[in-house]
Amino acid sequence: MSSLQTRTYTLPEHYIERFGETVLRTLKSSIDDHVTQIQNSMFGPLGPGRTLEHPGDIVREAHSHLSNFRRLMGALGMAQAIDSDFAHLLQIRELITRKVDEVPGGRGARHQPIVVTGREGAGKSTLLAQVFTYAPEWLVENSERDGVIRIVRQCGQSPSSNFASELLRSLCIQIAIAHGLEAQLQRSAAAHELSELAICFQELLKLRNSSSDLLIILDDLHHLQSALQSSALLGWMPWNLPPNVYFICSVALEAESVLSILRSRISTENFVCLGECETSEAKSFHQGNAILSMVQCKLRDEKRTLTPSQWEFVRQKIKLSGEEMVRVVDQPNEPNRPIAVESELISSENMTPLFANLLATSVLSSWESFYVPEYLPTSVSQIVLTILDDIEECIPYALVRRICTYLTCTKYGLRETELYNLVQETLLSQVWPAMTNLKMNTESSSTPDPFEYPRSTASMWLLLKAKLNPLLKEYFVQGQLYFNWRSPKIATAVRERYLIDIGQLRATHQELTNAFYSSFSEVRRDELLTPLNTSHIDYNHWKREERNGISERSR
Amino acid sequence: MESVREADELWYHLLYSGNKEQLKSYALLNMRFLKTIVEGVSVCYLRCILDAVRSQVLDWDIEQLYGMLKQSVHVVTQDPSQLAVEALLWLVPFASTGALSLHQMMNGKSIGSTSSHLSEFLRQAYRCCVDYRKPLLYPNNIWLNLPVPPQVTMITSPWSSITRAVSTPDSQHLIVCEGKMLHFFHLPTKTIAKSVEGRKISQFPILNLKL
Repeated sequence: MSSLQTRTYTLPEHYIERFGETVLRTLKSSIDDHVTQIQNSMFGPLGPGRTLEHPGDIVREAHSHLSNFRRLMGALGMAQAIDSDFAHLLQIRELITRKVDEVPGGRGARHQPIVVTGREGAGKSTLLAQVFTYAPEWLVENSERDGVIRIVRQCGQSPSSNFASELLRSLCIQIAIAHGLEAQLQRSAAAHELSELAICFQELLKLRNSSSDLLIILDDLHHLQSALQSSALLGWMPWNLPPNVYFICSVALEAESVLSILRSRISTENFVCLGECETSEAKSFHQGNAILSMVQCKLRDEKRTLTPSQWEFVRQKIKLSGEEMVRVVDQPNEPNRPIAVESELISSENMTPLFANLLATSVLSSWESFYVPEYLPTSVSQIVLTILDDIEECIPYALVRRICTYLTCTKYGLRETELYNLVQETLLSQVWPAMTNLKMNTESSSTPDPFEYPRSTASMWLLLKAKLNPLLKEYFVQGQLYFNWRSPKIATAVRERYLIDIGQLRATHQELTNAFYSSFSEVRRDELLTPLNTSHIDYNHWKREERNGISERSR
Repeated sequence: MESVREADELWYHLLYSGNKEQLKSYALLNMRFLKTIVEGVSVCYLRCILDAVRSQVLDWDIEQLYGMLKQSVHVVTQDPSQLAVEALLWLVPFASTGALSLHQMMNGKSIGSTSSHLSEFLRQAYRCCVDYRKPLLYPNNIWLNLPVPPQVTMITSPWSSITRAVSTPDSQHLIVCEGKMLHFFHLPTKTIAKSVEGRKISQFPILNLKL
């Protein structure tokens, strides 16, 4: 019985006060030390406004990309991490830890960049995140170096990584800061031409001291834009790297031009190919099995499971899309052959880890044990359509359409506050007035209203967020969290559904322009950032009127 | 600067909404936008944006801005607050008509001869210089200027001989006749959009082209 008694502890006198004082003192002294260190170090006696400008931007940028990569790693569940196929990871490990002497070309040959290719949704970013996490262990055990400096960028996911010259500039600055090379820092901060930056980059790679390894990871290289011709686009890439520098990038299989340049300059053994690179009949069987095991792992991570009959249904459907092709190919009729090849490509295109992930989280997780399944989507776009159909039943169409089109058209996505304001504003200006009109017209009838939408913004927003969650990803851009579609495939499917012609696309861009312009012109230097102010579009008068109307009705 | 993302999205959506006038007045010829990008990211990024815009739209104001940036890139990299001064240095000759000093030009009636966007931009630059809190050196005269490269942009023709050419009203396409073929040439991307061949009946070369 005594073990069940609650025990109370008393702290010694003035403990809290002394603790607080010590913490405050330590914080102050460490901050002061750091500030004097920065002011005395590489930037010389410049004014306080200028000293921290470069590192501030670069630090925020580097942090955002690092956090995004860590999130990718965290999104990989436990069961998936254990069960997945490690062949590609081991291949990269092999390429990285191979000593210079063992390179077939002999001592003169240096090692080249490693390129990871695969379709959209094949798992390139996840593979790079795994390399990023495990690389220090591989490299440190291999040699007597001090440590590994890892620099990560995802092209197209922040303003500084959209264009080749800006990306190079931020890479040069980061490398210069990491190694304390002051002259190079000044030079790369002032450079603006791609050729100059390329020279700077190559020099930095050679000049840095060889006591630590450098690992540069660039994701989605095909998103990099440049004003130059595509043949000169990758002119800055170092084709032969110094011994302790490792360069890994990922390119989508659909980007032919970039891939052809890379293939011409880098030997094939440095290419890691994810998913299908060649098509063959046996592969489609293996693909089906791989997808099923991925689905199983994901369900286990979500702590859900399916009944045996449901499993049988899923297995049949997935295997069917692979088997059908085999059956067609076996027929002796020649005209069937081209069709068989085409549809085999279509089905194997869809069997990607992204598809397995989406299927498990969105469709299969919501199957109750008594549910008898009749339909299973067999591609990412079908899953997206299923989810959107489901959402449109419980949330007004105007709202769903608006949010989906805005998310598709923006570059980086939207913040949560902006999405919430969008929901609020659409409800107030478009949905509720329409509903009240409907109600007034049908007031005479006694039948209840079939569609009873939730009445409060918050509940609708929570519902929408929960339903859209499998399709969205959350990531950092310049230190702030944004929501965006998880993959370009999803964005394409949404665009096909809601933005069919170019007039609608232009109209959406125009609305977004007005919204961003109003919030851009409102922001002052000292103020905190205000969320996207969509009320400045035409609906200003609606908002005021309807708010009054609603407050009267709720009484 | 916290509003870099707003500025970045702004020019992107303006470009893809096809609204050239707003693109110039809200974003590219807007002093506030330029300062946000230059101070928030870098001059290099501004030039990348201009490259991306120039590959889709051919416009005199944007070409002038690009030329000005090219000349003044070293100065602005070292001190972003000099952007307004550089704009005044290089671009005033294109917007002034008969005024004797900058002060007179800014306080006078709207110029209206060349382009209102450029003069509005220069007015914003002038206001920036005047309102600047720290000491700043800016030019007050308009007759003493740095020489500007005379050509704005250059296009090489992919055909050997052209007999007639006329441009579309929005100045983005050039309709060129070469012998019996009519080509629609898209100027910003420097590509051929469409080619139309005369029918067999008309063997005569095209004599006149007018829109």
